[in-house]
Amino acid sequence: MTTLDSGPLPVGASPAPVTLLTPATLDEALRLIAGGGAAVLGGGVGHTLRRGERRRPAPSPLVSVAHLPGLTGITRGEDHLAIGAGVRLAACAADEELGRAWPVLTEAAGSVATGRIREMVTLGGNIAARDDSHDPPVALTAVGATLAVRSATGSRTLTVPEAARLRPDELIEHVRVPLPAPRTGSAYEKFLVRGVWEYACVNVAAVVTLEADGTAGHLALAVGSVAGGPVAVDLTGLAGAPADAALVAEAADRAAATTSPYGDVRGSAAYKTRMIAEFARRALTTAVRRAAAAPDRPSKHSAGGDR
Amino acid sequence: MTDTTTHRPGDTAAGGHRTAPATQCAAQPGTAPGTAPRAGTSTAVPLRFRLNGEDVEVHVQDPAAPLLDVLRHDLGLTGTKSGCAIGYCGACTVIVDGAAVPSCLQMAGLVEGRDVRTVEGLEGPGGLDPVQEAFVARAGLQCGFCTPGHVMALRALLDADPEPDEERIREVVDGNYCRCTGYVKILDSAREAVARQKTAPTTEEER
Repeated sequence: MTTLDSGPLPVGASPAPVTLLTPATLDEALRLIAGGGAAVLGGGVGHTLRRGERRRPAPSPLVSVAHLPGLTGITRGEDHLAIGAGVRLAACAADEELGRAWPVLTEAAGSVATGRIREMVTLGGNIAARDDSHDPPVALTAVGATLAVRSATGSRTLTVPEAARLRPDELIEHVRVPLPAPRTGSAYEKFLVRGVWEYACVNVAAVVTLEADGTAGHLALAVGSVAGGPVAVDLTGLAGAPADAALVAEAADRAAATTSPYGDVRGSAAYKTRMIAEFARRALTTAVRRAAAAPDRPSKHSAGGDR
Repeated sequence: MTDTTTHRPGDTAAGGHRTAPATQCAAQPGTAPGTAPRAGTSTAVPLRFRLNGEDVEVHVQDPAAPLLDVLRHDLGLTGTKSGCAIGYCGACTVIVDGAAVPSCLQMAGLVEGRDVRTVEGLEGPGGLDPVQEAFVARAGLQCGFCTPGHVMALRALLDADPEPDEERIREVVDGNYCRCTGYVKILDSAREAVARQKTAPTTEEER
């Protein structure tokens, strides 16, 4: 969970200065973090927010990576989109191709904080912060995205929930997002108890792929703001049933039954469990509707799909 | 955070610097990467960036400090206001490389070599920027504390999109709290700014 608190330092006190390194290449960045004592810096928002926390000394040196070649753009491969870890959430939210393929991703990226903060936060930094209430990791989990992770000694692939296994000598290079199968819809629901500009009470992402006969060939739900989140809900046995209200209700109930929210200022655990069921229902319902409206074959220049 | 040497806008000729690989911003020159600054020693390091069209160099104790502190304390530019310090109130908004961002969350060391604009840098044919004129004309401020944030965010919007639609305007005004009056007159001012931007000969191209 996240609590926003400026936690100002006492007058006259200042945190210990840190070293900030700005490498020019990815290889150089990987060498700088190879020892494990450095911290990878994306947009720097998390570090700046926590600077005043006296119990958590700032790691040093900080190695700035968001500007590095290869981390700054969204590229399209044969069967996937690769989003550079340094891409800002504002750019993710505004990307038309990403929005056509996976509205759940642009909705999640666009729901973070304020538009001004989204200009600073990088996708990689948002994931690597491993905050269970962060929005993009929830959507990426539902979509089945993977993280291309590099260190000076090699590279590997992690799922989004596996981001907890990132080693200090590793950084996320890009996020690999599969292109959706035909007749796939997706949706993101973020429930804010006070309205806008807050961390979620519950956040849920849904993906549904419809078969020609109206059954759900594939469905996925991911839930954030719960213990161990984002959690990919186990929906085993539900695929193949007609994509109707009964299926949606069953999947939503399973999301509520198999996740463990924690009580905090945004609501008690019991309240959040009910909200998970409700917002999972809404996300799935929208995803089914969008899947029904989606083109039934993948198109390289598709303008279709319900945004 | 106290500077040892402060160069005010116009004082320095630090322009044109291109940073070498692994630019180190912090600790003393010659400190090996990965070495924390030694306690008790002077660790002020130069930070160079473009500020309101001028190249500036300021010596900062900690490159992880917020840009807001450098602007207000080190450079004495107090037009940028400090509000919530967690990025949500928008009062501290400045423009970094064209994007309106809360300077309380912008790590100062990350603006090395970049372009920063603050409310002090605004100007227009009549003295004020058309956005500022619009706030005057539509009475879009009362105490004025949130105003620099609104003005800078709208300036960035109009630079990127001279004819934003209503939704875009509201999106930009959102994220900047006004605790005096609400947002009706601020939105009026924003719409007025769009109208003035269309008609006024702008100086923005000169930047």
